Amino acid sequence: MISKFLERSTYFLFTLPAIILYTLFFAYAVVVGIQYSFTDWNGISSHYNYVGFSNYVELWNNPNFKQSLIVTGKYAIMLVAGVMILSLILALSLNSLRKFQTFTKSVYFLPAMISAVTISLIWDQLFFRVVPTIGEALNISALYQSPLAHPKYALLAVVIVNIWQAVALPTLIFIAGLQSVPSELYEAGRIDGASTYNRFRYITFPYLIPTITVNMVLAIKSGITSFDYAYTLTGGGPIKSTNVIGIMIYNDAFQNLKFAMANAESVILFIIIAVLSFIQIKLARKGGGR
Amino acid sequence: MKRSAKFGVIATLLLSLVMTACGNESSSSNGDKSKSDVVKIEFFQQQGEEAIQNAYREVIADFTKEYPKIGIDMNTVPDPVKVLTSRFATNDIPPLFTDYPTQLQFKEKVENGYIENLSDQPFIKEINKKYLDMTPANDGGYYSLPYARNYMAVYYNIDLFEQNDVKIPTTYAEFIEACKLFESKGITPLYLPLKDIGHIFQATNIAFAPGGVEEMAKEAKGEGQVEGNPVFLEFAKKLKELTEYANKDAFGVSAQMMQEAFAKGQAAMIISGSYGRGNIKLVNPNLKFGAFALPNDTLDTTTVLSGVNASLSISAKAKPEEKEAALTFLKYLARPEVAQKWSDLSGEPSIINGTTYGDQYLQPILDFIDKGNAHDWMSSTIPSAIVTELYSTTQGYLINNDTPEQYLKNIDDTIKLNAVK
Repeated sequence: MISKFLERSTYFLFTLPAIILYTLFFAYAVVVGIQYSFTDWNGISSHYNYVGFSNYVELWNNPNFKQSLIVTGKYAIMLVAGVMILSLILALSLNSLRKFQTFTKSVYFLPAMISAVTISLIWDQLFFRVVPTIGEALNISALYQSPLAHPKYALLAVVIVNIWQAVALPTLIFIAGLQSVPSELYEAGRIDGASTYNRFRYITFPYLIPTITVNMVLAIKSGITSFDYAYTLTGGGPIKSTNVIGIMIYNDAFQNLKFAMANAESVILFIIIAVLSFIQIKLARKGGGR
Repeated sequence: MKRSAKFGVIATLLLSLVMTACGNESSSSNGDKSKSDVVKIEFFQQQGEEAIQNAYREVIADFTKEYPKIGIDMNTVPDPVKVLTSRFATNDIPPLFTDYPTQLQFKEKVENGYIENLSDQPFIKEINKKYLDMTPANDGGYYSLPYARNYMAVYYNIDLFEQNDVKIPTTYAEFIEACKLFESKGITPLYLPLKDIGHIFQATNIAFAPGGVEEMAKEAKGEGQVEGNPVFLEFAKKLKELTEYANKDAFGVSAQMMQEAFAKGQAAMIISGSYGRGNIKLVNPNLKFGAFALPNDTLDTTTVLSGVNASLSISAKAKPEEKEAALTFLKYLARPEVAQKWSDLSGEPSIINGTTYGDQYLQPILDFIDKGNAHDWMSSTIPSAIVTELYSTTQGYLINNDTPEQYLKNIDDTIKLNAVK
């Protein structure tokens, strides 16, 4: 009897450690987080009261929260577009290299191995010391100052730094995807007289769709939950122009002692990511059935 | 056979897991026993400046020689205020830590019973009374050992002042005169770090709007407004006027960049916290610089922002032996000769009675604070959520070039939006 049970449940038992850990560290945290979002806990006090949806109502009326959502949306769109286009171009060019491919790939992968904070500190200095020199030499008034100092350009500048690092991993994933395309198809395409664009459109692209989905989900998620670059480069400024939702949550929780409010913000962020991921996966399944 | 093999594999895995867990436990408890006579405590120290860390390191080394059975493990992290808050939130309070006893957040921690009451300790009587009086909690008790004071003042390059025959300004008009003179000679008069506008906002508001903090505190409680307030209008105009004499890239400059530029002689003056001294000395140990109060219209109305620096507290949740060790360390720190050594090494002005300040060029600002008007940091009166939001309101005023009237309206909006409901 026992051995029969074991027979059936062996595979399940192997997943048990992962399930327990996941429940402990993720599901439990989410449930507790949601619970706190309905309280007035300030993070320090040992007592708190349940206040229903009042944190959510307050957020709805808070212009800073709306602005933060917009900033985050812009950030994510710019990041996704930048990362997807650049990494695809990089992957195509690296994949067509005949010599030194491994070496070049590792060079392009280097930024992924440096911490975001280090990269931000380096770029902060570049923006402050190099950009104004270029601006003055070329007489471009927008570049007279560090772009991080200007509310109009700060967000773009932060995204550029993020893209600089974030392209590395998707590039590798794309290269792996490209290498799965059978070379006979290209040969057949060439014989049939397909142009470079057509070969990409009708041979490479369909094979890349699963890879694009993976990269897209990763990029959207990292865009919406981004925190480190904006926090180190600008701290959310100037005038909140780079105040992404991650920074708002962090500051509300640990600086402004509004833990419950920060939890409500996180719950909304969680819902947004869940909806986006759901749509993304649905769409990819439709388009992916080649 | 197949089934029993599977069973065997699983059983072995589970057994090895259990064994490893037990093994770890037993080895660690053995380790504890062998070192049981030494009490090791974490000291969460908030000030990251190299000179201050070094001063604590030296003092801890001396302490360990005298008390070999107590180990003090200093831990300094980036963004310490937020890290400490998160550790309180998760009940992982360091046994010994530095914090800011005048701030409302600290008082909240005291009210929740997280911090040990030190009122009966003899060293409390050894602290400069002016600063000690800033620190009692809402119950009137003392919950920390205030060790040094800080201030925001104008640091000036003594050589540049002497070469250009500029006297130390004592009124706002004289200050602007000095700025004009430096500007005419091609020297940047004032180097401002408007990327980190926070402390500049606090220092200028306290200097140019006497009573302004109290006005904003009232507004945070739902009474009054600053719109149309002549004192605030004056502050807004002066703040903008200062930026006219500042470096052109001020909005991209952080406080650290400002200290660096000043140390390299790139500007005649900066508005800096006393905590900036160490960094300036680190970049250029030979720079001669002094400090004076950021002047208002007259000497009588000039107020310096000065408060208690990070003070040392003991967690009420620590184990008795940890509390005992921490208290022994505090008693040691409060000895005048130890405080003197710490002050000399860190460059921070000690507030333990019987110490003297070692920097003759910066002594005048301390004398001014002792005799004249001083006001504590804003977070002691206004919730820090409002104070930090006012930073970006102020940044908006200067970047968007709003009118002073609009700025005051924006201050009102910010306070109302972030006031505790």
